[in-house]
Amino acid sequence: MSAGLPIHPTDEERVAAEMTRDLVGVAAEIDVRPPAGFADRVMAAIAAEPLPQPARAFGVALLGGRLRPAIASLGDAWRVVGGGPTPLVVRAQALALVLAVTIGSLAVAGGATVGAIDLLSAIAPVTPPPTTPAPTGPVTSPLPSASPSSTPDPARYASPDASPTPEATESAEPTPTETPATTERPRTATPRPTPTDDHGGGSGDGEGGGGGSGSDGSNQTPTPTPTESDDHGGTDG
Amino acid sequence: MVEAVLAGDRDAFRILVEHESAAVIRACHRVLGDVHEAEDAAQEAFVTAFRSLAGWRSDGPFGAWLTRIAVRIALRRAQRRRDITWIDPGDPSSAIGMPGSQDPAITSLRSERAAGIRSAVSRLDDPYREVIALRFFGELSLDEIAAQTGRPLGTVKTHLRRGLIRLRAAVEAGSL
Repeated sequence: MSAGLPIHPTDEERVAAEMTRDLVGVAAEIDVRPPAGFADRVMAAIAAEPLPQPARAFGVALLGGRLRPAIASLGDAWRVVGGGPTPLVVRAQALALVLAVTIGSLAVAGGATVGAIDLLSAIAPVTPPPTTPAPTGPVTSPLPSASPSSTPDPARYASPDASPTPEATESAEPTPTETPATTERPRTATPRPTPTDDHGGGSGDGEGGGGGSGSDGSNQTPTPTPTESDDHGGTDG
Repeated sequence: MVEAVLAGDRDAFRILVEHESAAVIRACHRVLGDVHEAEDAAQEAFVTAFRSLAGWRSDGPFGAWLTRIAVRIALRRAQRRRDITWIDPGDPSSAIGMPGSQDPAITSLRSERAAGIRSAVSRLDDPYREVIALRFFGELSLDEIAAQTGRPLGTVKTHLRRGLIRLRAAVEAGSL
């Protein structure tokens, strides 16, 4: 039979029987007896064995920054604690190591948990959205950009050009009930678009996001000249 | 006896050594094929057993547990050493034990065959190697092997059968 060929299933019984016979032949009784003093030799070897020092091994591994030996020494300590023919002092050291590591890891885990909870609770008030954008200013008023921002709108959107005009300050008032009144006011107050041929001035202001309610009128007033021309609302949009 | 050792009585362990040393050395010798190496392996097995005596589950014979330790140590040593095995034709322990074979040529051939089988056993993959070594070199029964290795009896039988077939292929591959 060649070595490379697989053994046919029908030959497996025969091959197994042959190998069993060969192994029995190898393992046939040979008169091997322990030499004299073998037990003394074994006991001397056991006595020469260094005592297990898992605490010391753990400290050395920890100082060396090696994690795997540290874990292995913890396992040794657990085995020493569990029993075995070790002196009581070694067992007490191992027990102390196991307890210290257990308490330390529990403390670290508890501290991490408390820290994570504190962090989450500190972040939590920031995340809920404010309830102020709820007013239906954009829905009711044709100028949507003026009402959602309540406080900073007058300063932000009112341009220096618009500040002297009373319309700008009035339109920036955050109360939602007043915004429709103020937004409608510039349309009526600015009669400029009507006499001209401008076909897009009023509607273009409504779509402008940054225009605000008061700035619409103020922005249009300094530039009256294009409206009298044939411009069809390009600048206002 | 084991409880006495666990309680710190070292003389009790000496009695265990004297009681089990013959079987342990014999098992190591069957794996290694060398008397002195077998004694060293047996000594290492006893020291290992003394250290991990607390891990012995008393659900099986102490000798079977000790034999498993010894066979594993011997197999590890057999793996470490070189494949070349020097055979002393004058040493009857190196030959396959066939009484009455006084012819040096026959003895040499049998020794070579035995060394090839030992080497092939140590080269097997782990489940098969351990089962075959425990069964034929450690003289453990299949039930004892199942108890010691924690495998079902049917699995042990399957490992033994497949291991024998693999061993045949390994022996023939090594003899080429």
